[in-house]
Amino acid sequence: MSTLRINNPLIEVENLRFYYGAARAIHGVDLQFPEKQVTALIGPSGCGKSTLLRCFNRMNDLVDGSRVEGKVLLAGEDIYARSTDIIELRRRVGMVFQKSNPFPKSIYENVIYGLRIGGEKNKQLLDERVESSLKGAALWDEVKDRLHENALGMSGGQMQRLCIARAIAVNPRVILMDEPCSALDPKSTARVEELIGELRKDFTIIIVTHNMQQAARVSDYTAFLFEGNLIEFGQTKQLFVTPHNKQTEDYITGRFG
Amino acid sequence: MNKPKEMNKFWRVGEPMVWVSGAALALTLLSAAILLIVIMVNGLGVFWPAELRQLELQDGSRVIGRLVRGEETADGSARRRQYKIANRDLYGLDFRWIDEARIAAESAPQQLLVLERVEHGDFYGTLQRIDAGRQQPGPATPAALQQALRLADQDLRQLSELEEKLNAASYRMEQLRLKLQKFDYRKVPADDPDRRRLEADSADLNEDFGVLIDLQSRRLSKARLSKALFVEAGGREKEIDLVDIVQAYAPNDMSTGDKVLFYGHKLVELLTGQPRESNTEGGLFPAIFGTVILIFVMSLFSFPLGVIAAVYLREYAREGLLVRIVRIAVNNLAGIPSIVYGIFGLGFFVYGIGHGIDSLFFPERSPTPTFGTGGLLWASLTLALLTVPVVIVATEEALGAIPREMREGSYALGATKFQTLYRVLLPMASPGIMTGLILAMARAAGEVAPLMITGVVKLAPALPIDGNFPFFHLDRKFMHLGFHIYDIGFQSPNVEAAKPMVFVTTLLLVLIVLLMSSVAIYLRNKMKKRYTFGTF
Amino acid sequence: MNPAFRKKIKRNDRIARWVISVGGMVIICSVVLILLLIAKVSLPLFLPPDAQLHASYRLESAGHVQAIGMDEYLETGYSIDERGQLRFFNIDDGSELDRLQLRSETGARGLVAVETYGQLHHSLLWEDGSLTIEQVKFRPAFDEADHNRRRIVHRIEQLAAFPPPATGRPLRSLARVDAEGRRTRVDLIAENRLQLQLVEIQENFLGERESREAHHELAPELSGNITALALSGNGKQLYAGTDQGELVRWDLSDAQAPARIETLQAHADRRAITALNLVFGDISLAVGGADGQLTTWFPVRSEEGGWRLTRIHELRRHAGPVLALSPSSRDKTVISLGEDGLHFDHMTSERFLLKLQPDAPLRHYQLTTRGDALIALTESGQLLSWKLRIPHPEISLGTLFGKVWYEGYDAPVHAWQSSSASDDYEPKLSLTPLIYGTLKGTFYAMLLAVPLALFGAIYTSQFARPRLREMIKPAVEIMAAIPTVIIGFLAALWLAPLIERSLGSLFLSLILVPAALMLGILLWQAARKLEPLKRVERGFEFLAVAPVIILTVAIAAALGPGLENLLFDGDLKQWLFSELGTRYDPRNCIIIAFAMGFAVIPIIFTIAEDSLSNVPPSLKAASLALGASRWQTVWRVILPSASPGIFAGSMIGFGRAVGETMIVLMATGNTAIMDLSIFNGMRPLSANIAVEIPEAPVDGSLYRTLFLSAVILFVMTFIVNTAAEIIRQRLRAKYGRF
Repeated sequence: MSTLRINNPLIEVENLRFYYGAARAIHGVDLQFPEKQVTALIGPSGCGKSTLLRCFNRMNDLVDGSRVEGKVLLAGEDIYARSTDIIELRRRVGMVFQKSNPFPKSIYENVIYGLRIGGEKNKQLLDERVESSLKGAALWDEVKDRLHENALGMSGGQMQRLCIARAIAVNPRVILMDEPCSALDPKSTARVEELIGELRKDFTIIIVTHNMQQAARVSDYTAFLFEGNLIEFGQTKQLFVTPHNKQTEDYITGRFG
Repeated sequence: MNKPKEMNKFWRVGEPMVWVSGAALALTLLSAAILLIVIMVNGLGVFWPAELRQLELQDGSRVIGRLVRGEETADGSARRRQYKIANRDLYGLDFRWIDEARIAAESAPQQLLVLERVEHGDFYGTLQRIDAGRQQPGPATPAALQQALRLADQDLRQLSELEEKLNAASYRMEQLRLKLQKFDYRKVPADDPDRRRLEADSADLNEDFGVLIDLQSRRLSKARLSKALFVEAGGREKEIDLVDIVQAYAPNDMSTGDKVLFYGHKLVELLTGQPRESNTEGGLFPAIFGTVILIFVMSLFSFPLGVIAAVYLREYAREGLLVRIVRIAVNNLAGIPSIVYGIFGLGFFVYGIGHGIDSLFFPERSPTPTFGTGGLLWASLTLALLTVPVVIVATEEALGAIPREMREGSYALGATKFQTLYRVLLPMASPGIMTGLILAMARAAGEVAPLMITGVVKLAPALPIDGNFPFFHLDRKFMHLGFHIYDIGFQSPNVEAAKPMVFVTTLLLVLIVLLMSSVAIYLRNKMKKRYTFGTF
Repeated sequence: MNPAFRKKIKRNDRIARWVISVGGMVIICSVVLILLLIAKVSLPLFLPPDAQLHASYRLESAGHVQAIGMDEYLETGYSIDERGQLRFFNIDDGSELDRLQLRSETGARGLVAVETYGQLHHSLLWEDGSLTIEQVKFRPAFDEADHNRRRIVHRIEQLAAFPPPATGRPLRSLARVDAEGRRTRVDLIAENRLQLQLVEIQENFLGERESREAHHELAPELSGNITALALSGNGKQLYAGTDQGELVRWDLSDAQAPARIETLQAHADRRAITALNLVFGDISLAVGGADGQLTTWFPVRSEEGGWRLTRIHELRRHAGPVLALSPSSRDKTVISLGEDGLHFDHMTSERFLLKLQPDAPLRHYQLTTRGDALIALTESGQLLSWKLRIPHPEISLGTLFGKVWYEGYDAPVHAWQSSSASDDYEPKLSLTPLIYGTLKGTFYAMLLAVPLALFGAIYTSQFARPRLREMIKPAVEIMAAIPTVIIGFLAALWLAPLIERSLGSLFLSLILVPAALMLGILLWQAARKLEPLKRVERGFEFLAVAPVIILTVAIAAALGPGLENLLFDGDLKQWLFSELGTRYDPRNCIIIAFAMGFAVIPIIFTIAEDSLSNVPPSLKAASLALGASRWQTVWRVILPSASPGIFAGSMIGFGRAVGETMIVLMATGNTAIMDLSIFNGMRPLSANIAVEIPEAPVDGSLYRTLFLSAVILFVMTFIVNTAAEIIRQRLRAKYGRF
């Protein structure tokens, strides 16, 4: 069990347990995520890494019969406290999904969706935000002439970057990425990975990935989960080069998983 | 040697069964095609001004008629033809079978006229004399006849203006009578000022009404002075008031262009005119209007109700046994016989709620029912119930087809459930919902059985919308194209003469329904293509 | 985000959740409640009748009362006592309202016996043997001076008077007067002799009215003594019963020659007949025996040709002898008095309705003309009145579904005949012929539709070219949208005459089309060797077959009349009737099979096609790869996997055919017969509802029975559809669609 302590963590997880009905999927995880760094969650399928990720913006609330115990602190506030506003939380913690999911609307409308539902009506501000978000997602040059075309006409990689633009348009502090490249071709994957490198300047990023090379390439910190337990957490370089734990070593050297 | 073997194989592998199944499909499609062809052939030809034939029979008598069809006689030895001979008031019959052997000569003289009359159906014959009343008796030419008819038409227009005034007055009188009845019921004393005023109004109206009636009868008798004398095939003379002639034309004297124009004119009359002759002639306007209003009012109920129920089932209700049972029930309700809905509408809406409304709000009118009898509102509600399952099923399927990622994407951006619903899900499901609604409307347009017991009538005295307050009269009875078909095809005294009109109505209804369902199917297919992205 | 806005959207969300949840639940519940509501309307058919004691008190001078009666408003009662006094009193407390003195024509004051019949008609036998018939009439009047309050006004009308017979006072007397003024008096005198006095009013040739009087004496040879007599309301039918169980029937319609029709042994064990009376309508006779047995009889055509009184129904038995019998004046209910109280039985339905059992034995009782209240006087002088609620005495499960022996019929039957012109007509509401009609029509429609739709679906999903399939599917769906009123109209006014004209051709094409198909396939064997033609086998077969079918039908149409001439003397319909005894209705099951089949095919087709197309292509590929032919693949692999869907489609089609209304309404004769012949029509439940409900009085038996038939339709389709739906959901779960 690693005991790496982070100074000024943005997200702190304290003894988090997660249940699907009666079955426990996460067995007491303690973790701290540094601000404006990329943290990768790795582990074999079914180890609970996506579930853990979805605890950070309470997407798991949508699952019938799920239950959370323990604490998740975002900037010192428990997001599972009664007083937490789930809407506000999700605006501070954006998310990018495994399968790109732009709405069947125009590119422009997709980007400002979060602002619209937040009640923003200022046209000028919206225009500015579209541009900055698309630029932030390195998509502006490709789509600036067809902002009002349907987003479903884009390529897979473009759609995923659009989803990222959509997430950063509401100015979150954290972006959760759930295997964002698993459905993309290598070229698109490279572009998204490049983009993640850019985004770490402004956002705290937590990325779930299946692909250890990717984790090694994009992340600063890495956490290895196995069967609902946190096995090891450390700086990526250290964890990949000199894992403390036997299981971690076995996993990253490809002996199982 | 080789051949039977190959033959055997052909049979053994079941190749003939492929052909048999192909034949089954061919039969199905052929029967549908035949149905449409029969409707088209019979419906489209009705208004074509076909040639009038003049026949000289062996016994010296003459017949003027339109050929309907020819066939072999019962013993197969000779042929006979059926002619429409019209002149119902003179002959008693509209149609006549004539053996071909009895026909001595046949011709198509140009001067033969067809008169469409207000009563007694068509008249076939020739013009003898015009007696236009105001003017000197002029020459009996077709042009003069048309001129005289135009004058008569002006008279008629004036009369119909009067008629409108009369209707408005009688409506007001009826309203006053009902108010007085209410006073009676509430035992308002005779010297109450309100009551006095009403009674004075009523007396004034009565007087006005009398004046109008008087004027009308004078105008009418004046208009009736214009007459024309016609001669039928056998030489009998018939004097007809010009105001009773809807239209006169000489089909044998018309060019193809004239005929096309005439056909178009008849189509316009069909769509905008009032029915005549117990619905077997004239226009279909009240029936079309009734059908449209019925569908409209029905959609007003079934669309929101169906969508809300489907959204509840799919988005809000917790998935479980109960929801599954409810879903089975809803799917099931789509298959419940329409007559069961009809009888429910009668028992629940008409006799239940309708009687309740009457005894609460119109006790003074009892026992005359206002809402406690079939009417547009109850028929619409019954149809809404009948079509709600269609909308629910379609909406649910459309919502269910939206990938989960769409919802998650929206929630992850901080949208509430309702925002997700109306910004993402409903727009995405809208083609499916539209499909359901259109299918529901098509079903409502063709459904007759439940209407028969909840308020449709063969001839409604007034439209459900008019200029009298409150403009929308949902308690009124109404006419409906589907019931029109049933009524004139099966309830009219002269089925043979009614047939053309039934076919025309059928054609119209088929076109409406086919158009609606084609649009629905097109929309659905388009939607299928549009949202098949992402589902690998 | 702006906190105010956040609050707003959260509030909106909560409101929406509430509105949608409540709305959704309400809509779904209300839709599901339809069955309960229609069932609720039909439920009162089966509710047991009940009686509610309205008032009970001692009637003064009750010991002398000879008859009692009551108005139908349950307000005014009256009694006739042995001094001829008619006393009207308030039903609630017995306070006297009015008092009248009745007199015989001879001036006699003492009243010996009163017999009550019809609508409060009383025939009064005076002490000197003279007789009068008095009718008590009530009508409501509205007092304008007193806020239009309703009062019940009573009136006495003397309808007839008879002088005393020459032989002196009889043992028993019956008297009737009919609408034409014909008066009949029957006196039982000693030794089983009956004296008859008949007075007929006739108009002579001068137009003057004169009465003709006739006297007869009837002396039947009987082994027992006459114990009971019954005379019909018009005085033309006379019945007598003896203490040896014999029953005698006379016809008095010819005043000059009254005739004894028959004498028969009603009770084989020679049990005494203790009470006789005619049931409403004066056709059936109710017979009460000494052991409490209660039977009804009416004349049935016998094999020898005459009409013989026959025992038809047996009603609930009394514990002791039946003391008195009286009919209801509204329906075929029989009220019988025994020592154990009053029984109410409905004759036709043989339904035991009600039993009233007061503490003391009853001396007199009388039902109101409306049949909803009863007044009775006990031996102990207690006056009792009951409100009765017997809403649907004629309906029982037996009459709805079983065979019933209706009055005037030769045998028990299933019959639906809801109305007729006459008042005393008994509606015949058996649902069996209607259910039979529904199932018959459905059967023939399914016979045509299922094979066509299934084979068509198989072809479309498995063999047709995808491009063609994309055209065929919408075409069939559009076919489903054609309103049934149009199909029904065409079936009735176009197809029915066509088939009637060319019945021979129809049957000929039934033989020729399969034959031509066979021939075509054989010829194809030779033709398919040519490469360009073989392309037809890639999904164009149905197009190639169509001309063959059209051509064959055309040949059959041309040959049909000739064949009819050759084989059936020129008229197949006549031949059917004379040789097979089958009547040919122009609107029959052939028409229904075509029309309803046409309506059902698209439904079965669509669902079956969907489930066939949903069979994973890998299965098909696997089978084909193993060398199976395309038909073998379909037959052995695809059909079994798609069978639940095909079954579901057929079920839903069945449900649709069962409930279809307009087609059957227009294209069947709507005659409620039970006959399997394909040349007859039928009357199905759905069409029956459509025809009858507009005329049915609200809350009457017919109205409720029609609702019951709607419930039956509902249940039939509900079961079928639910089964299909469950199967379909399973299928969806299996193949993961939606």
